[in-house]
Amino acid sequence: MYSQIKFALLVLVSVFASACATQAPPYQFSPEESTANILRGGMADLCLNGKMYTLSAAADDGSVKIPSGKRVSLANFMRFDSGNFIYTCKPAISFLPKSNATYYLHNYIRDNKCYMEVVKDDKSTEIGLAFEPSIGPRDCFPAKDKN
Amino acid sequence: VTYIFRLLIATSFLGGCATSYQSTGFTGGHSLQNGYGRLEKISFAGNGFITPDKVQKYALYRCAEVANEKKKAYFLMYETLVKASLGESTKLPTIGAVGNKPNAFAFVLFLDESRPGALKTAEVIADLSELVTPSKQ
Repeated sequence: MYSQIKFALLVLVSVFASACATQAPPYQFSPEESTANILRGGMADLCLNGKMYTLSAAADDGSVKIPSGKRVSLANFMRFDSGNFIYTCKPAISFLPKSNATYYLHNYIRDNKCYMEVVKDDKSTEIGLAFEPSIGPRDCFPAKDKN
Repeated sequence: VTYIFRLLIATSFLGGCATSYQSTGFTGGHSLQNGYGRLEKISFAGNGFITPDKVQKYALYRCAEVANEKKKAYFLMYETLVKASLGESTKLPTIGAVGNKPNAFAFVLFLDESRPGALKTAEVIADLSELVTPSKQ
């Protein structure tokens, strides 16, 4: 009986989740548009000038191209199945990527809250990373970051 | 009597389900991701039967264990990539939870020499080895 209820709940959650999901169009780069690379970002969503886009699949090295020279917001959907409940969150962040630069995107949970952070690849430092000073608040992603 | 017997069976069964110190498996465990610059992300995921404090210590022990495997006498831990980029190290991994499942991680830089904020690999292993592999008495 319990497993039947659990299954029914899972189906209901899936139906609601799919009904709420809106597929944003893929971002189309113009031929002369400058780009930056994201590493370790997974399948992030992009928000640019108030519009949402999906980013193309990662290249063989795991990098994803994003537009540079303008403030972009990135968000990642996180999903966790605890066995009885499914927890979701969508942390997001904005920053101003520089042309041909590479950035690392990292999602994590702390104190039951989801976060996203971005740092710049910089091989001249001991750790190979540098602080990204342009980090700012998200743009068009809803502020739903509690799991 | 039947109730107590069932309770005892359930308690012993659940106790056996708590995540032990191991590589990632069905009930959780430790994992490693490299490629964040020169840092490695070391994580320990627990299930609903282990305390956050224990998960955090397991993650710390794993950091020392990996340092030992790399023959590095010291290591620096960072809570996040941003903290790492600012040079702010930590003494304990970051702890979070999804529902009742605790998860701890740290970004680690392995060192040959000591420096401010660095942990000594041998000391961490000595301090936590009893917790990770409890002696049978």
